[in-house]
Amino acid sequence: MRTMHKRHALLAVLATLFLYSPAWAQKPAWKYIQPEALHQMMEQKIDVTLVNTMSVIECRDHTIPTSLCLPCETLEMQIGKLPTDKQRKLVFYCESELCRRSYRAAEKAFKHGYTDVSILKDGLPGWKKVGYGVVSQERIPRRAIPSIKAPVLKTWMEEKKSFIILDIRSDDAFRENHIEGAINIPFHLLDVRYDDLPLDSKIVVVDERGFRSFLAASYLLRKGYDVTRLFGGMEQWQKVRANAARLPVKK
Amino acid sequence: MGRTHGSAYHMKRMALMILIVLLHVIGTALTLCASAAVGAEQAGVAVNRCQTCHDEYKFRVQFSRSIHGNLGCISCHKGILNLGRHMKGEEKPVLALCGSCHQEIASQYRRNFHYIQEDFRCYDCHHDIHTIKPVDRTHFKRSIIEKCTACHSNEEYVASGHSEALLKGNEDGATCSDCHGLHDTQVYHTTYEKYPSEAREFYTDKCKRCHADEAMMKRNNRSADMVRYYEETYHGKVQNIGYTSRVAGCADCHTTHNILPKSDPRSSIHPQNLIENCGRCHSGFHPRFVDYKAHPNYRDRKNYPSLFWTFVLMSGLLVVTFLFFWIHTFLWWRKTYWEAHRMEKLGIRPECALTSEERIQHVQRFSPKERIMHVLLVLSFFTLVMTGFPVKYPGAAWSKVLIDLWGGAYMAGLFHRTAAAVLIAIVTYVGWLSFWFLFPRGQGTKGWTSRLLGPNSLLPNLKDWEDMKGMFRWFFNRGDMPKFDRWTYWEKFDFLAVFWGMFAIGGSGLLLWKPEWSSYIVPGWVLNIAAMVHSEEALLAALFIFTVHFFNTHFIPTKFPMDRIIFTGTYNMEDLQIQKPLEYARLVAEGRLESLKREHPSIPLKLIAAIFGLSSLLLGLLLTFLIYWAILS
Repeated sequence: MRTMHKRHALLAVLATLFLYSPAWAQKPAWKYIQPEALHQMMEQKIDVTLVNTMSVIECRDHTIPTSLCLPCETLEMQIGKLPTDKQRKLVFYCESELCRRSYRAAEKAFKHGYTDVSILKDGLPGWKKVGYGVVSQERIPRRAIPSIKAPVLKTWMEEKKSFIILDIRSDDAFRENHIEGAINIPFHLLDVRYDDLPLDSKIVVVDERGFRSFLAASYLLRKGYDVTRLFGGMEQWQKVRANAARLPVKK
Repeated sequence: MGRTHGSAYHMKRMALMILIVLLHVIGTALTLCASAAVGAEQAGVAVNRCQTCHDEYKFRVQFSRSIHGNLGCISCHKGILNLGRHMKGEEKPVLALCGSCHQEIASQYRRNFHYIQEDFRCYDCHHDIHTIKPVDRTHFKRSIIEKCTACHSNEEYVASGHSEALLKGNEDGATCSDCHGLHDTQVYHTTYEKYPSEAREFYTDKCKRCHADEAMMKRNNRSADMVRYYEETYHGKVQNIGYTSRVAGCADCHTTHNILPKSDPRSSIHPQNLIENCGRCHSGFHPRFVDYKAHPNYRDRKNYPSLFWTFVLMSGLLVVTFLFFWIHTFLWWRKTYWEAHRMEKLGIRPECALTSEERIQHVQRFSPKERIMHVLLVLSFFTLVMTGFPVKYPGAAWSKVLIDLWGGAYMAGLFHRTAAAVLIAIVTYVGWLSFWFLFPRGQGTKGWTSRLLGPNSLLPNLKDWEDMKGMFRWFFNRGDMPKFDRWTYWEKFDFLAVFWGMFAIGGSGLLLWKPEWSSYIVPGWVLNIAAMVHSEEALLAALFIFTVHFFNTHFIPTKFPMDRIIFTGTYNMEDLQIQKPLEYARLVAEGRLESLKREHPSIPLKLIAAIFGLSSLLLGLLLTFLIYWAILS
C-alpha cells in the first residue's frame, strides 16, 4: 500500500510541477484547517473569524455558530465586515468539499491584506460529519420537492412543456455554459431578485452539483412558486450529455 | 330533618368534590410522570394548558391517538418555563430533539446524507409527527417508497423487478431503504463517481444481504447460490480481496434501479444488451466475449457441461497425481529411514570402489546456466504463488495480509504478470535448448531418435517404467534399489510437469491476461474454463512442488535438510556413483569423466546456496500450511 501511495504522491508532485510551473514557487497562501482543530480553537476561545461564503439564504438557514454570512461573490463589497485586525485568523467554508467558493474568498481576503487565512476542510458537511452542531437564524422548512433527472428534463424540453429553467450558479459559470433557455439568478441574489420570476410557471432549479438547488427551491416554494429541481445539477447534465444523448448546451 | 337532609346533601357534595380533586391530582400526577419520564428536569406546563391556545384538531385529538400520545407537549417542546412569557411571545420552545429518546436512530442519522448536506431534521421527513401512528409493518416497505419518491421520482425503480414484487405484496422485494439505508442513508456521490470503490463495496454488500439469504431466496423461487457462484469468479474474488475499484460488483452489470430479469428486453442482462453492458468496463472485444458466464455453477452438469467436465478432469488429475506421489514419497521415506537405521546400527558404510581422493573429487551435474534458470524459476514461482493464492482464497485469514505485503491487489497483479513473463521466458528458452539437444548443429536430424530415447534425454522411456517398478519392490524389501542413469523417472516427471503446467497455467493465464483480446480467439465461456484450469492447476503445481518435489529431492533422509546441488552445480564422485551408477559407468566408458571434474565449491557459494535453498524450502512449507488452512476452513 505504501509503495502505491508513494507512487501516487510522486505522480501528483510531477503533475503539479508540470501543470502549474509558474505558481509552484509561491505556495498557496491559505492553509487547510480540520473541523476538529477549529472546534478546539472555538472551545478555547481563541480569536477566530468564521466566514460562511454561501448565499445569505443558506447562511441564515443553518451555519456554524459565530459565522459571518459573507457570500463569496459580494465579499469584496462587504470587506469592511471582516475584522480590521489583518493578523486575525480567518476561516472560510462553503457547502461541500468540491465547491470553489471558499478558495476564491480566501484569495480575495489575501488581496486585502489578511495574513492568516484558512479553509475549513470539507466545508460545512465536514464539520457536521464529525458531529458538531449548527445554528439556524431563519430556517426554511423542508418540503418534498420533486427532483427530475437530466434525461427527463431533456424530454420536457423536447416536448416544449411550459417551464422555466432557473440557473442559480454564479454569472461567470452561467456565461461559460448553461442549459439552453435557462435564466440566471445567482443564489446570493435570489432573496432580492426572486420576484423577477413568474408565479404561473413551473421552475426547474439548476445548480452546480445538486447540493444547493434543494434549499433554493425550498425558498421559492415558500414564496409560492411551483418548483422542481435538476438532480445532480449542471454536472449531471453535462455528464449525461457527454455520455449519450446530445443535450443542448449553449456555449 | 331538613338539617339532616341538608347535611347529607353536603356530605354528598363534599365526597364528590374530594373525588374530583383526587382525580385531578392523580391526573396531574400521571401527566407529570409521563412527561417526567422524558424530560425529568422540566415540569410545569400541562398538556391541557397548551391545548387551550393550540387547540387545533391535530393537537387536541389526533395527537393523543398518535404513538407519542402518552407524552406531554413539553416532552419535546422544551424550554418553556413561564407560560405568561410564552404567551406574550417572549419565550419560545427550543427545537425538538427527537434524539434524546431515539438515541440509536439519532446516532445513525448524524451520518445521513440528508442531514450532512441538506440539514434535514427528523420532522422534515416525519412532518406528520403530531399524528404519527405506530409503524404498520405490513405496508412498511411501500410507505418508504412513498416517502422517498416524494422528492426522488424514480421511474427506473418503479419499473424494476424489486418494485413490481413489492407492489404485488411481496414484502421480500427491496425497497429504497434496503439498499440505501433508512436513517443512515449514505451517498457515495455516485452521480459523479467520486468514491467508486466505496460505493461498489457498500452496494454489493447490500445486494448480498438478501440474495445470499437461503430462506428468502427459496421462498421467492431464486437461488441463494448465485452470490457464491459470483464469488467464485474473478470479479468476485478480486472484490473480496478488497480491490473494489476496478472489478464489477453486482450493480455494474445489473444496474442500480432498473433491475429486471434476463428475459425482459429492457434488462441490462438481456442477451441483446450484453455487449453494451460489458462494454461499460471492457473495451475492444469481439461480440462473443459476452458469452462469459458471470456466475456459473460448475457443479451443474446440465447447464454448464464444459465447466463441469473441466472440473472433473482437473480434480481427477489432482487426486491421481497426489495419490500416487504421496504414497510413493511416503514409502520411499520409510524405506530410506529404515535402511539408514539398519546401516547405522550395524556400522555399515556404503560400498564404494573409489579411492579416497576420487571420492572427494567434485564433478559437474548442472551447468551455471541451468543453475541460474533454477534460481529464476524459484523466484518467479514463489512470486506467482504468493500473488495468486490470495486471490484464489480471498476469504482466508491470511490473504489480505499477503496481498498488502505486495502493496495491494493492483501491485500484486503487476508482480504476478511480471513473474509469469519470466517463467514463460524460461520455459521458452528450455524449449529452445531441447530443440538443439535433439538436432545439434552439424548433425541435423541424424540420430535424433536415439538422442530422444537415450540416457541424456528427459523423455520417459521403458527403463523408467522398469525403474519405477523396481523402486516399489525396493520399498517393500523385495529387491535392490534400481540403478539409475543421468535422470531418474521422478526427475523427468518434475521437468515435464513444468511443461504441462506451463501449457495449462500459462495458456489459461495468457487468455485471462487480456480477456478482451482473447475473445478474438475463443468465445467468452472458454474464459470461464481458463479461470478454472488456471486456479486448479495452480493448486496442483504449488502443492506438487511443496509436498512432492521438496520431499523427494530435499527432505529425503539421505539429503535432509536440502540437496544444494542445483545451486552449487557439483557433487562428489562418491555421490555420483551411488545415486547415478549407470551414468558414472557411462562417463568412465566414454572417457568424459575427466572433462566434468570441477573444483570443490567455495564457502561463499555453499553459504549462499544454503541460505537461499533453506529459506525457499521453509517458505514453501509455510505456504503449504496456508493453503491447507484455506482449504480446510
